[in-house]
Amino acid sequence: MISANIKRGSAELAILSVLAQRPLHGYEIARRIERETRGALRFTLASLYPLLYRMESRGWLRAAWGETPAGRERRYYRLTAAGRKKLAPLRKEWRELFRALGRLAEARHA
Amino acid sequence: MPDWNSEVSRELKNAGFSPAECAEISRELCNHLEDLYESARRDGLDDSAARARALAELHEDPRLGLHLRRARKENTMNHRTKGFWLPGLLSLVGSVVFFAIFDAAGLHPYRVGDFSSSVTHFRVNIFLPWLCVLPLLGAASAYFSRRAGSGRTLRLVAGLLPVLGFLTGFVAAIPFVFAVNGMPGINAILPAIAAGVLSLVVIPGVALLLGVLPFLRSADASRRAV
Repeated sequence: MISANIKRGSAELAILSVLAQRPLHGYEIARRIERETRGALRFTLASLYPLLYRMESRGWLRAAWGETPAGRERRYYRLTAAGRKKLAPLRKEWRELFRALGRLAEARHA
Repeated sequence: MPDWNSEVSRELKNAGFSPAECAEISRELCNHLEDLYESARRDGLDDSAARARALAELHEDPRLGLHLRRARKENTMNHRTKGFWLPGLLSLVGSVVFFAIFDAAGLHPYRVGDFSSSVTHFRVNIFLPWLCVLPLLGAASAYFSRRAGSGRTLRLVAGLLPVLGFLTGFVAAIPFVFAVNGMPGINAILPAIAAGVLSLVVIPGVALLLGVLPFLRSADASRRAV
């Protein structure tokens, strides 16, 4: 299980990454992240929406009401151009961080 | 199906949202609770256990309403500034500056449709060098607006801000002109107003729009096109 601080820092990357695939509503975002991280990252309603609204007000996401295939109304989030622009450097930063941590762990074992 | 509204309203009660904002957030959170509840039911939980599981997520943070409000307000100003005001000012200031530069350089508007007489005054001015620059200004404005994540409407308005400014100035100047020159007959006023609107609003507006149009497509669409 990943600690809370790391989770907080990675939450934006997780949301941007799943929305880069296709627009999703809040519940789908939470489930998709949980499934794709095999439960390592889990958003509850109370942790998800403040983050989504913050990212929306920063202009990274845009939300609009739409219908699910079952005909239910949901508020769908999609990435904006600014969100896509944010995603690439975020991915790079996290890749570098994990690489650095990997090197550190290997050095410890050596 | 449980009614989630009262539970959600209690969470949002003291957060200071406008009624419209509150209604939208409430609708979204109720939908989420409904999905959580149905998922719990599919997992085999009975009604009250499924309801409790869904509500536990809602009540996990006692300051949820406050956090939602802070999140919604954060950077709203910055986003609007970057996505609309700065790109809009770029085209507005740019158009005024280029007009002044071309005018100072001795270039003058080309007059077409001059039907002026002692009674009417209809003369459309086409300032060709200036009109050539306007598509570039409109394009730059719409590009920066799109880069900041603005929607189509904001991109369009930012790009056309100069002509909206000219139109406002034009409308505001009419009573002043009447006050100074007296009230002429309708035959004299309408052609003069029409010529002014054509010269300062319609024709420059079309020039700006030419630059704005390519940037009204979403960034995704333009990326796919490449």
